[in-house]
Amino acid sequence: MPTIRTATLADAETIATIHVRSWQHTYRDVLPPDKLAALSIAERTRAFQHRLVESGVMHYLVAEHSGEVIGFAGWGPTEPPTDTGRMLYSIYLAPAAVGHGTGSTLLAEVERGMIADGAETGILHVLKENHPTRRFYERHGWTLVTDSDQDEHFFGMTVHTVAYTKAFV
Amino acid sequence: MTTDTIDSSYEEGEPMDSNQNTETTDQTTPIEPQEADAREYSLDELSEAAGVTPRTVRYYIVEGLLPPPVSTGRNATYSQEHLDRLLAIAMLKDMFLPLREIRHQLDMLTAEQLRDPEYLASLSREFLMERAQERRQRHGGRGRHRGGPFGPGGTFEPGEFPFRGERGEGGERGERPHREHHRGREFAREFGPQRWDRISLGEDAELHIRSRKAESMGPELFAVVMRLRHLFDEEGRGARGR
Repeated sequence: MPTIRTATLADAETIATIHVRSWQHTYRDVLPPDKLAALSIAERTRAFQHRLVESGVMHYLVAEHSGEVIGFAGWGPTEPPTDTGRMLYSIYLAPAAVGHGTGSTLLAEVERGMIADGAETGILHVLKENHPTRRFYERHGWTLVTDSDQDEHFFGMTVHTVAYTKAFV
Repeated sequence: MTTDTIDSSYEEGEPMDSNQNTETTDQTTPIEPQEADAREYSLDELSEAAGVTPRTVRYYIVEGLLPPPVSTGRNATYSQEHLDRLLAIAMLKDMFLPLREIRHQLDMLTAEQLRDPEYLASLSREFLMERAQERRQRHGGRGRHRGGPFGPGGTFEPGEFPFRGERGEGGERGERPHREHHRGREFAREFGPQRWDRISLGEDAELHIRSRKAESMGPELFAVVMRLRHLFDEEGRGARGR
């Protein structure tokens, strides 16, 4: 069983590595290969360092197994921030760590955190073509929001996403 | 099995560069100046016109404050009603109405009312006065709260405009204010420039401000107090953690 803890600044590079590798692996058939190849771990590390020291806004958790970080999750306020809504921004696992329940453990911990923070509803965006992940969220009680398709722009790529929500009360 | 990575595909906090979103403009949409209501907007056009981010538009749809797009899919289009509603939401939010209340208000508005800033302003004032009245009734008008409308156990609720209809009494030095009196604006006028408010900013800090000043600052003061409370809260948490 993985253990979950709050991420620290020292985790930034590991988180960035998991993040970049995960994008390159998961979206290899969906997003432009040259753009995926150009993703920079150093750049992502700096971005995560910045967010990890911005305390109180984003909450980052890491999953550890045998002392090694194998996944992370990030959640925080919705845009715009509201009293009762919280957003799951990311759950990423190192490819080798998939299939052992780490994602479920991370998600459960995220939901606990959101509820403790006063959330009545959770929201997340997921790549429309990412069917395994969408099924993962559906298995955990998240519901697709009808007509929520939207293009978002990350790292110079246009990403087609849909929204899911979960009511906690 | 095509993929084995759990991935929300959502990049946290990545700045949205609206300048790069130029390709979605729908060249085929006819825009008839004489029929403003028939105007359709792409997501980027709508966001820009309303001064909000695309994520905000989506969140409002999820929360039921906005109807779904007129045509759906990745090139979804939005109507004039979406823009009217977004502008109305912005206005009601500026008055610190909670989202739930905004949704409730929007549901009862006609298209004309939705476009009438004066009407919208009167709605929020009415709502806030009602809430203040309810609180006075609920708490018997005195003595239940500490730390004023912002304080722990205070009468301020998130999303509510805290300086209207009810405020605590400014106390003497060393005396906790807000315990004895909860009255309306008349009270502030009665005590005039002599009256001070104390607003709790955390366990170890409070803001001492002349009532008249607090009244005139209104929402700006609210924003400052919330920022400071957040700061002190974080600072306290950090100190305990060390």
